[in-house]
Order: sequence, then structure tokens, then C-alpha cells
Amino acid sequence: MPNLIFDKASVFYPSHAPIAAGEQRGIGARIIKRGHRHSIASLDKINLTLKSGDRVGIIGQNGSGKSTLLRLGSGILRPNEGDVIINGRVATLFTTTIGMNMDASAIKNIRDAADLMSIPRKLINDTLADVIDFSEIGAFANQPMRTYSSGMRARVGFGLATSFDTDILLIDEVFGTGDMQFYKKARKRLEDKIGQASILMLASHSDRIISTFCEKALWLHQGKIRDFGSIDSICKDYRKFMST
Amino acid sequence: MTYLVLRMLLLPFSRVWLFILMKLVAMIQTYHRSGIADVVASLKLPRLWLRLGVRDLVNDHARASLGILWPLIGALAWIVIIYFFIGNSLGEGNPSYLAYLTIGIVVYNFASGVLVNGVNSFMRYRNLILNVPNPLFIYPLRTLTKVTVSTGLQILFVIAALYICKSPPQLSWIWVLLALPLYFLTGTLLALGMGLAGVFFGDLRFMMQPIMRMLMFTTPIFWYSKGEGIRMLATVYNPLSHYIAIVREPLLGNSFPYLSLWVVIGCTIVIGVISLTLFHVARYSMIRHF
Repeated sequence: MPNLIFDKASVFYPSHAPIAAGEQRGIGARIIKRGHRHSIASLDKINLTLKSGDRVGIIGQNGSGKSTLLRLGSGILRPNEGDVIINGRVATLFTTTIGMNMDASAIKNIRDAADLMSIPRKLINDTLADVIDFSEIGAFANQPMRTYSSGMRARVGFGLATSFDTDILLIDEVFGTGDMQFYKKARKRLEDKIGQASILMLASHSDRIISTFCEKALWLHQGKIRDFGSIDSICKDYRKFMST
Repeated sequence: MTYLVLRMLLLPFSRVWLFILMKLVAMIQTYHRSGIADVVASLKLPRLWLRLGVRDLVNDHARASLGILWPLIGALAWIVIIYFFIGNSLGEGNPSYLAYLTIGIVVYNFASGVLVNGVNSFMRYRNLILNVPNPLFIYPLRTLTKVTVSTGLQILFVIAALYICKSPPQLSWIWVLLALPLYFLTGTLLALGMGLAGVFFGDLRFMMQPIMRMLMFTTPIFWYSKGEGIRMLATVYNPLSHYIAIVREPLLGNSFPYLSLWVVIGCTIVIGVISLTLFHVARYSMIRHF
């Protein structure tokens, strides 16, 4: 059974320039002193267990650790302290241009990205057809991707990330560039995928997106979990916090 | 050190053995998170790094009408210029000088490609590393693929030079089959170590070009190492000259340089141990450092 466990997971980024310790107003980051050096405490002792069927939306200020939490969950990063246990196949959608070469066509890029995402060889042609169909780029599929709008790139990237069955799907702020039609399609596709994928973690600044795709909300503040539970109450508290 | 060894030998059930045993158990338990597990996982994805390595080479030359022929043209220009302008004095009238020079330049180009591209093995793919969960060792392998394809095409020049120098195929050429895997192994490990170091030390990538230029002149690529003096020292203490020798000498029909082979094997082991240790210890720090 797929699950994702964060066990007192902490991540500290090195500070590349002299910086004063303490809270940084306006952004969610916190500077701490570790030994002789200052570090940015991106996540601080995160305890979280996600089981099959969990759909969690992550909200928080810029720098509060949303992307870092997703990177930990994907295995891209390891925590400095604590542990993260990942059971299941992970797919990420952190960017809509997964290593894409803008001078190459969508077809070439989809093939390369399919390799990067370890999609089995026999499924690559099906994936290609599926992504082109979903993204509705039609005749543009042969054009260099630099000629695409950001929304079109988002469609291709989203189509690719959701083109194969996965146990854990992690998404970071990629809906912003799409139009309403894309949003509806993405929602339908994601709902279909969620039926197969067991766990969804989605970071966004938008209440609407979180409430559309998720069942629970997690509010990160300065690398710590401030609240976890009902979307309505957490989003309400978050809005209130942000307005002050 | 001696005390430790004696103690380990004399006290088989001592705390030292227990400590080692515990470490081994811990290593097995955490194998899936080790650098070696990453290396093994990467080696299981040959289609990925081969395809992406070739794509990198093609993309680098995508806007040039001659495309990937440019590295070939560059190498040919070097060979022609050195042979016709200074070959007379440096070649010492040796009839196989053209082949000697060509093999030297092709191996040098491989080494140069590995070092110059290797420093960027991880930095270049920073965006990809941060966004797609893949084993990290695929990136040095990708770099090596790019360099190998680029330099591999230059083997045509070696064949042509051997033909012009009337050097017929001979049994000693089999030694090259041993040398090539050592080249690939050293190249990958070097790209790994340099790539990691390149993330932490930003100056490194700017140092590589001048270092390679220096190596061009301090390695017996277009001059012969004979007698004593600084040239001889540069030959003996420069690992690159040994890497060249294990390919050049058998191809030219000379006796195989066993000493150079041992130096190459030694260098490969040292580079391997340093790079893999660094990789095991620092790969996640590298990502946080991006």
C-alpha cells in the first residue's frame, strides 16, 4: 500500500551570503545558526503521514517550504535531519518544462521527457498520442516549443506528468498559466488519475485550486506545519493571516 | 595504523570487529540510499543517458548548419596546422609522426571534453535534477556519452593517419580494446568527481580551460619524450601521457607500455575512490547547494 511518511524531517539550505538570524518578515523563511554558519531552515521537524487516498493541498507564504516539502516527498532531496519514507511510484509536476529544449518540437520533447520519467518504451507512442490529444496542440506538435504560449507549455507538461499511472503525484504551482478550459480539463484528468494514484500533494497559493483537487489542507509557515485538516477552516485562517 | 591493524587481526571478537559489523549491517539496511545504489540504478537506464547524451551533443550544435561536424573540423584543423607548420621540427623525420600526432590529439580531445564538460555535469542539469526524481549518476554518464560520441567520430582521423603512415593492422592493436574501457571508466568517474566539485567551487569551471591548454603543451602529444630534462619529467609525472601511451604505442606497433598501464589503473582506482566517496557523502548537499 503506497504511503509517504515524513518523520521529523528538517531541511537546511546553506546561506550563500552573510545574513542575520531570525524571522524574515514578508517571506516564510527563517534563518538559524547551525554551528558557525547561518542556514535557511526550510523545513523544521515535519511529522506527516499520508496514506492511500489522501489528497493534500499545501498553502503558505513564499519561502515557507512548500516546494522543499514536495522535493522531499519525491526523493529528489533528503532531509538533513529526520527521515522520509516513500513507498510507491512517484510522479512530479514541478515545472511545465521538464528539461525541455525550446528549440525542439513537442513530439521530441515528449519522447525525451518520457525517457526521463522512466515511461516504459512500449508505452511511449501511446503517451505521445495521449499528451498531444490532451494538450490540444494539434498541428503545433511539430513546431519548436519556443513558439508556444506558456499555457500551451503547461498543457504539454501537465499532460505528460499525468500520462501514466502513479502511486504518488506531487504538483507544485503549475495551474496558474492555464486558461479556464485547461483548468476544467486538468481537473477531469486529475480526478481520473486520482482514482489510480493513491496520494496527491499539491502546492498552490489558490484556495480555489486547493479546494477543487484536495480534501485536506496543510498550512506551512516558516518551515513548520501551522495547521493540517479541513480545507475551509485552514484557508479561512490563512487568508486572515495574510490580510494582517 | 599498525596498532589498529594488529589489534584487528589479534582480537577477532573485539569491539573493532563489532563496530565494522554494525557498520556493514547499517550499510546493507540503508543500501537503497547509498551512492552505490544510485550508480546501479543509473546503469540500469542506459537508453536514458545514451539518448540524452547524444541529444545534448546535437542540441549544442543545433543552430550550426554543419552541426556535430564542428568538433571534427576543429580536431582536423589542429592536426593539419601542427603537422604542416611545426611537424618538421618536432616529428624528427619519423615516418609515423602523423599517426603519433593524430592519436595524441584525439585522446587529448577526449580528456579535455571530459574535464571541461565534467565540471558542469550537475550544474548544467540543475533544473532537471530539482524537478524530476531520477538517479543522479545518469548525469555524468550523460556527459560521458556526449564526449564519447563527439570524440569517437575523430577515430576516423586515426584510421586515416594510420593508413597514410602505412601502419598495417597488427596483433598489438588488441591492447586498445583494454584501454578503451579504462578510458570510459576514468571518464565517467572524473565527470562525477569534477561535477560535484564544480557545484561547490564555482571557480573550477573557469580553471579547466587554462589547465587543458597547459596540458596540451606539457603532454607528449605533438612532441617526442626522449632522454632527460623537463620533457621527460612531464612525461613520467603527467597521468595523461600514460593514458595516451596505452593506446598510441600498440597502434604504432611499438612494445606495450606496461608501466603506463599500471599508472592508468592506479589513477582510475584513485579517481574512482575519491569520486564515489564524494558522491556518496555530498550528493544531497549538492542539491541543497544549487
